[in-house]
Amino acid sequence: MILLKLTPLWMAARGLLAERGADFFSCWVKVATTFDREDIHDLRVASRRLREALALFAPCYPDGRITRLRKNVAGVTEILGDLRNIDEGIAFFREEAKELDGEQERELAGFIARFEKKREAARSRLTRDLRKISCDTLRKKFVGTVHSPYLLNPPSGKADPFMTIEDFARECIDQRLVPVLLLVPAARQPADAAAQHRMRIAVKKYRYRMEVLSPLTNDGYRELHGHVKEYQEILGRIHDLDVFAGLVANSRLTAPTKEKLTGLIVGEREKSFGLFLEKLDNTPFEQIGERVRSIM
Amino acid sequence: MDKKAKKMLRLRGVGEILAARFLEAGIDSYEKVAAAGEEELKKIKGMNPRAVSGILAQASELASEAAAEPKKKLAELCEKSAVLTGRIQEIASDVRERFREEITGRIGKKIEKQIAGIAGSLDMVTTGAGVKQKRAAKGLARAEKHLGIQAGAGLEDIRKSLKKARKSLKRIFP
Repeated sequence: MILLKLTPLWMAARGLLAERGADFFSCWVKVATTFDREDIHDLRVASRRLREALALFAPCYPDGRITRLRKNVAGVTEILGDLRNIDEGIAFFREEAKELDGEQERELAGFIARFEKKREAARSRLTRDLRKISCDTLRKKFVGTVHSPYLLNPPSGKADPFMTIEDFARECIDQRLVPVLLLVPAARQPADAAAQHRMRIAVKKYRYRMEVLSPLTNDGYRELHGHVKEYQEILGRIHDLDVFAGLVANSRLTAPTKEKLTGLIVGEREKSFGLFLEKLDNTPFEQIGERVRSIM
Repeated sequence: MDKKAKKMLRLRGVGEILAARFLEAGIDSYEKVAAAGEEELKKIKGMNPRAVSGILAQASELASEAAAEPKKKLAELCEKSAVLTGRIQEIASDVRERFREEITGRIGKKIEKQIAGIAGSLDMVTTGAGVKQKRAAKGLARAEKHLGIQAGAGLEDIRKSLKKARKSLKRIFP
């Protein structure tokens, strides 16, 4: 559909959700045949974007129907998680293996081999679980819900279907920025991994909201989206490293290998954390938020 | 004379007899005429060798026009669908403005349902998936006629017009 800034919300909500739904279902069909690492990643991202779009436009629809859809889509995101995490782990430890030699390298190779076995099991689980959910049934449910937003008689507390999408977008974009800004002071503390993790999730949601509303933005979107994406990647790396450190600590690797790997992980975490602080100083979120509002 | 033979008559230098001979030789489209080349066309009985190059040039032109035609038609359908989408937005807004009290009941629900249905059908035009263009064009024209609701029309008239428009589109985009 042709989306203009003055398009009424009821019409824009249908169009923008349909766009996200089309992306999600086409990724699903692809994964169901290939089970490729990148395709799985694309489907996970598409499912998260769709969930964000559903959350954004929830005020345009009856609560129960949107909640059920979000749960169904979240179910897909969840079953993809295992395989994706294992793939990330394998890629990371393969890279780290280059830094080791002799016995330690062989030991890590055994550790990676166990991961690969887990990958096979996760892949079978994914195939089984994905087959349990009918793509067509969910698609029908999705279309049925998305095509019927509130129009003439929205209940109180819901959005006005006739407000322009531009006004709605301006009201909604900052809802996802507020948690990010609140988490910055705690996330600045290197040891507060929980705050960094929460901030990563908050940044991700802000990014997806920007992406859903991107058809309404003017020049400058790509640059701003790039900054948010970079934040997410840095925080994602920090989180992954924390997870890998936990895996090493709980593994059956010998103490010297554990020590060596932990040292490498700590070094990389410090580097990533340095990048994070640098980014906060150079491109603070207050500035990004202000510019995002100005291009809408 | 069948459709394919009639099509061949659009080529200057091809008459009814020659068109029938084209079909006998398995040449039944402009693409096939263009692909046949000078040598093949000259082999057809009754073909004037001096007319061959002209026929080939025309066939190539008509073949590329024919290839572009579905895209052009789809663009026209999308344009019309966008106009009708704008129209139902206006109708929805007009209904809400003029009939605030009345639309709280069943009639409001019915109108909502019709509008959602029409919008859904119009979306299907833009995706282009499985759209039979001739039928779609007819359906859109009928829907356009029904959506030409006069200013100041009553709520019941609007509901009936929306229902008719929905029906016209439902046949094509269920």
